[in-house]
Amino acid sequence: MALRGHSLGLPIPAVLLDLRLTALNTNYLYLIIFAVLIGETDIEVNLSTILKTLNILSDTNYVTVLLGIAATKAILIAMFYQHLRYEPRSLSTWVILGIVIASILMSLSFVQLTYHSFHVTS
Amino acid sequence: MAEQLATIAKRWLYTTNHKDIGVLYIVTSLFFFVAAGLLALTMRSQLSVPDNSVLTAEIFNQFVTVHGLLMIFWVLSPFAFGFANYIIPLQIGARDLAFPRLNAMSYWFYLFSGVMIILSFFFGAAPDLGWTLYSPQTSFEFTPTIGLNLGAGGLILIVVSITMSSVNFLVTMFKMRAPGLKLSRMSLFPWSILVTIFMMLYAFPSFLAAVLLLYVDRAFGTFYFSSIQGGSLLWDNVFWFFGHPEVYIVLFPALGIIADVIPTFARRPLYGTKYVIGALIAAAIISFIVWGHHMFLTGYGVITDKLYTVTTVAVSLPFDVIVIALIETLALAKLRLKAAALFTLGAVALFIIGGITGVYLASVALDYALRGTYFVVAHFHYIMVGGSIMGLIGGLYYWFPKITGRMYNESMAKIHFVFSFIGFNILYFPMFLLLDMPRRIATYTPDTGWGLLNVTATVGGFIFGGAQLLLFYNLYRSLRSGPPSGPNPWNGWTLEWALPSPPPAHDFDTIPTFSDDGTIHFRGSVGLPNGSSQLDGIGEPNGSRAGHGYSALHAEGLSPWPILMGLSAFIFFLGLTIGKPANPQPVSYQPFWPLIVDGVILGLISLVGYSRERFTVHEESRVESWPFTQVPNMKLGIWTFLGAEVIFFGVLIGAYFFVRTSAATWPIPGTVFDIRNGLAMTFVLITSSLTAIMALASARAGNRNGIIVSLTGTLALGAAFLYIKAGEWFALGDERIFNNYPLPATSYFITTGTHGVHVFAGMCMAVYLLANAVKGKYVNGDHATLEHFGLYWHFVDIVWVFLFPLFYLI
Repeated sequence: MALRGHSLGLPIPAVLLDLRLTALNTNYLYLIIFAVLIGETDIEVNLSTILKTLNILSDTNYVTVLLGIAATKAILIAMFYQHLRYEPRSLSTWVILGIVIASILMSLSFVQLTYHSFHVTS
Repeated sequence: MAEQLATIAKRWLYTTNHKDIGVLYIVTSLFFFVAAGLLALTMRSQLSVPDNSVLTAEIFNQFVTVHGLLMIFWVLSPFAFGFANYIIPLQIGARDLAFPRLNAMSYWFYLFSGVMIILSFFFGAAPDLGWTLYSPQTSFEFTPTIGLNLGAGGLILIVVSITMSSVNFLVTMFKMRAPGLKLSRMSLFPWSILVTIFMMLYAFPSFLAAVLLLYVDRAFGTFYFSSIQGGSLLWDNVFWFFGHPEVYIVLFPALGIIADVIPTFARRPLYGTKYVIGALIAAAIISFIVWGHHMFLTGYGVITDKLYTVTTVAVSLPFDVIVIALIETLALAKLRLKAAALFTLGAVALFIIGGITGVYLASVALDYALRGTYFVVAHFHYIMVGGSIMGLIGGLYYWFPKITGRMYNESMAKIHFVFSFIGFNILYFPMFLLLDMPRRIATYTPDTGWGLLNVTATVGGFIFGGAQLLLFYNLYRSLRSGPPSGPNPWNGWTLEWALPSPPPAHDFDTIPTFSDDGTIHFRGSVGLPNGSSQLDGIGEPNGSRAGHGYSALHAEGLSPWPILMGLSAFIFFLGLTIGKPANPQPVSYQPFWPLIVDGVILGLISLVGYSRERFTVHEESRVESWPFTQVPNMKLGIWTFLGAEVIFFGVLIGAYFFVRTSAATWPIPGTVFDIRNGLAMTFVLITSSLTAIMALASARAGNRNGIIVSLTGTLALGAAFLYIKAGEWFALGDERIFNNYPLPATSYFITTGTHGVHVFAGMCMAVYLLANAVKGKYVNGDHATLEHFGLYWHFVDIVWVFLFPLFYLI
């Protein structure tokens, strides 16, 4: 049931609750996220150097890879530092939906801008 | 006497009450309406006969532009949001908006932004390019006057006002509805405002970014719009991405009013309410993918043209649903033809004509022929004046008795309608026939044959304009000596009619409850069927008009800080915009420093006063707040604001991509912008996010020292980020980067500069939090402010996470 996204609605034992909410655990999590963010930044810089040197990716793919890494960093910050992961589903859905719509609109604009620019200049 | 005047002045200047602010919005927007109308009548006088010389071409262009800007930004939406301010809390059973002081601040920003636009006439020349401010005419080369800078400053201020207002209304309508008032039970006016707010939140940040780029181009000589790679195409896209939804932003509230007023006077519920709501939502969504039809002439290519034709025709379909629903509501109805009903019916009729002629412009072939002619002028005036203004005037007649407690002269109001309707059609219908007359020309020769139609339009203009004098006279006289209206003169069905006219300061003695069967209950009073005409007999359903409890709270809800913050922003922007542009020498801009310094000082004083002021906003616990039941008001507001920020930075990044993909060359990563600087700033900012979250964790653990250390760390890291950034800026400035790499420099300085301003704003917040933490705050479960600061600070971090690869690695 749990795997299918259902909940049995059983109360969480108090011991587990304590474990989940202790300041120590929370701080530990924040430090892990920090380490991951720093690590990703390091990878980002080194990868960009390697990819540019090897020249194995097209410009579009190169940009996609780097922005993809940036996006994962942004998601980590939003989920754990901005606590989106722990917010009520309505709020997280609200934010995600807003960002998805904004992204679609921005992508549409960008596609149009690029296409239009190409069309006019070619 | 002097004391009485001081009391009155204090009430209106310091008010945070939604009803007072609603009245201020309505009155101010009517003032701007008169100003814009006078400009229009002068233009019509100039065009009435060929070879006329009432106005020079330069002045005519300024009048056209300021008329358009005033009507669109300072009349239509603010007029509607005046009603929204006054009526929506009453309709949804809330005592005020979620953030009353923010609401007051929105108003003052609005007022001062309008003053800036009007001031532009006194600083050389007002903007003179049309309300679309097309590039490259806006560049310093073609428009060197300071007036356009002032215009840009005014537009930035009003977008800030609109953003504050949007966040406020959204939180209010989601979180503060009376118990039982589900979203599906809201009437059409609140629904129209809700949908409008969503459009505002997505559209206006785009416009803000566009105007910011324009301003920086003009003031500092950057190259977004003056370069071939950016230029007119970039402006067209960014502007119309906002511009077309803006048409619906100004229209929807009027449609909402119409959809509330017509059922009241037809004594029938709105036909197909859910379909009308669905149509509003559908039109709002589609409105964001039609902007290309404003650019058919720019040479898209066949496929893109066809796509935009399809979306533009598609956006007309939801409006068909709305119009059919309104007509169906009237079928077999015993319609009471009061002035409010007449105006709303007239608005529907004019909107149909405007809508149909709009479909013509979806056709590429017709658009090629009609673009830039008076046909287009006629079309959008039928929408914006015919549909929107007439609907809003209908709303004014509808709610005037509620707002003032007085009835106006109904016969005079009907005469007002007759002259307005006839005058409007004499004014604008001939323009449909002026198919070959270009808009925005100051005069024409006799041999064009346009004289007769133009003089007819001018006569119509004076009839329409003169008719509005009846409105002002009627309302003024009624305000002084009109008979009492009673609580519900129209036998209205929505909640505001259950209150006395005018409603008491605190609105409700007890919050009403909506039942499943449609009745509204007040604690201690008998419930009334929702829609019952017996509401008329209730008078004061909440019991004592004097009220108690919340009334005292609200009566004291005066705050001097919103007006002072608005004033400080006004002074600051005045100093920034009346400076001496220095194109083409970047970084040598000479702003008017005394005003800027004054604005900053007053702003800081106001900010401190605002944050220290004890201003309690009572949050009802027993309210309908789906879907955000568990989310505090402020947190929802912050997230909504951050959503607008996403669009804002998205457009800045989009502009960067646009010029980057258009440019033939771009510097190799690492050659201009040092990767080591970027990396250092990234590490610093990510670490500052860690310290910011540790401050919150410390607060939760009740650790005061932890908060102080973490916030100090955040501040120090923020300062370090700005220090590195400033060093990079100065180094790049010395290298004459603008000469060698104009577009990379433009995108870099504007985007990272805007981000830097956000970091600085976050640091100001951190200083405030630190001062409070030193005093022992935030350790007793009162750490919400810290959390809200964190949301903002982490967002700023996220933005940098994207800017780093864009400027240093790619």
